[in-house]
Amino acid sequence: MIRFGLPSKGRLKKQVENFFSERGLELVNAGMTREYLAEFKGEKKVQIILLASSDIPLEIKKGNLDIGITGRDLIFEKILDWRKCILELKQLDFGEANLIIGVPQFWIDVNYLDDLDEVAFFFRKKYSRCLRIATKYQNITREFLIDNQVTNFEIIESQGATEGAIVNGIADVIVDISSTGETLKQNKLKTIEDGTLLKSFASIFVNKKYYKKHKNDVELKRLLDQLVLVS
Amino acid sequence: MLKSKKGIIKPTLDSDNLGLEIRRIQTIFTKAGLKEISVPSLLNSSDLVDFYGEDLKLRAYTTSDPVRGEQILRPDFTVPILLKHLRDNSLQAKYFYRGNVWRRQNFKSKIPNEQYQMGFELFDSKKAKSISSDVEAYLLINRILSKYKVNSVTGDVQVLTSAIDDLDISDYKKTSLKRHLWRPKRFMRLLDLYSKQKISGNNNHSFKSANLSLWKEKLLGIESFYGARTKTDIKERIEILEQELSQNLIARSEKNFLLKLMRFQSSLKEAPKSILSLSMVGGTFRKAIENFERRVELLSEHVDTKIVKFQVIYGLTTLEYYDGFVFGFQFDHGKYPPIAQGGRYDSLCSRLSKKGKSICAIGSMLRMDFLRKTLNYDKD
Repeated sequence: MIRFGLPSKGRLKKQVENFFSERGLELVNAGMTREYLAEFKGEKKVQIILLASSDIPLEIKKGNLDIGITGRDLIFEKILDWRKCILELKQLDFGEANLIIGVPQFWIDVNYLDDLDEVAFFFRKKYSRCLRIATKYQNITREFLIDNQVTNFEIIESQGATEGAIVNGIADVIVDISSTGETLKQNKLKTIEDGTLLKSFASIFVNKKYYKKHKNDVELKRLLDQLVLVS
Repeated sequence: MLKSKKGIIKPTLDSDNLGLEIRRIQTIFTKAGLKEISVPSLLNSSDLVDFYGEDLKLRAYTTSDPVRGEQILRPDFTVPILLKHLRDNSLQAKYFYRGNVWRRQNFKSKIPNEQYQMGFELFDSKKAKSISSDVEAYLLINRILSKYKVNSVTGDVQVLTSAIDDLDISDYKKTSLKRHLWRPKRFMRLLDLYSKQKISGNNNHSFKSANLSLWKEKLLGIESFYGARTKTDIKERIEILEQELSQNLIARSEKNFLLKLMRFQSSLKEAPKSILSLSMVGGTFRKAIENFERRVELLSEHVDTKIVKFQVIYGLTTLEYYDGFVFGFQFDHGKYPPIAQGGRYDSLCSRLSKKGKSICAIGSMLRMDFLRKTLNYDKD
């Protein structure tokens, strides 16, 4: 039995369902009350497990899922050295979203990361504190900003509605997913020239160990043929 | 077995050899008048992040605790000892310590995540004594390691910062340059940005690219402001940029001097004279070199400084918070990272101490896990 993890709700779930139906795969519930388990119609060898897309990376790493579809942003954020234990089988053409830095539109003097670093330093001098950056993506943000020599910042955890963090006085800058830039505009925020942390989209990921052991199994080959090769 | 399957050295301390070695080092410390100090292994995260910045979380282990808040496993001894020393309101003191530190390492690193360190911190309220305690610190480590085949490298951050202080540029530029000495890429970007002759032409900074007066006009037209950063803050920064854009840029000769200085290396004995011959010598720089020369003279009374290496930028990227004399000891066979590293950190002290109290400090640590490896390496 192949354990296949999919997003249980949201836009990504719908896009995944479209992706399947384009390939002649139909999802059916495994039982009346079991909303979080499903299977492909006529396929008994694949167990579909529906869970939060942000939980999929860790479950693939742990081996509770053999294969899964989720956003690359989540893989990068949840598992720092993911390439060691997870294989990206196919990049998909949906779920596009960029992880970007958002600053207030009226910060007209801030257009590059080097500006942000200088402003953070002025913050430290004037307000005796770090520049606060609200984000759900703490790990990616920390690594990106340090790699780009930004100093004097502090990451504030934000589990949602991050775009409101500046108006709310929780943070000075945000890092968030933006697919069209519309949310940024509505909240009077702008991004900066070199402020894209990650270009994200959905991908099919598989547990490396599992793949090594089972890549010649008939069932897995059949599933992958349907998912990957037919396009 | 010393090596686990993954090649990580286990930090258990039951090896007889190492136990003896720890006692021997302890005796050396005690005879030198050092007192043992202990600090907790769990430290408050916000205290540390405040002055290390978020970098710390890339290197240290954080733990979650709904009651006490985020705690960090001790990533080094220097900072907690300094904080304890300041809390106790003491000025002069000589401490030694031993215990584990925990640091995340990348998977290629030979440094264990949990490592046993011994070391010391020497505090003094008198700046005048700095040179003699620099020498004392170096000689202590030198005495401990004299039975091993080691070589040492020294550096002096002061040589570089004093050279920057002597440049004919504004304090704003000096501050940003000194602030980024530890980040070579950024430092070179700034050096280029502040120079009359620019090389790259694509600086990632609004400093040159923007039309500053246009911004000022634009700023006047904006009505809604929110968050902590005010309209005045922005106006002030634009004015600073405006001024800095047009004035006091670094001359080509000055820039070349800095670059030469950063590349400089020689034997410790030769270093003071050779550096002075690089020309472009101002008052602050000369003073720094005089101090350097006195330190070399003092050291030469005890060690052969011809075989001690000197690099101006030694340790700049790895030895955070050091701002004066720095040193490291490495095994001759070169298999491991430095067995001992240390240096002066006066500005960290002044940043953390109460106003009006100045404390100077130098310290060093020994990575005991590598000593263990060598004990057995020599035995084999």
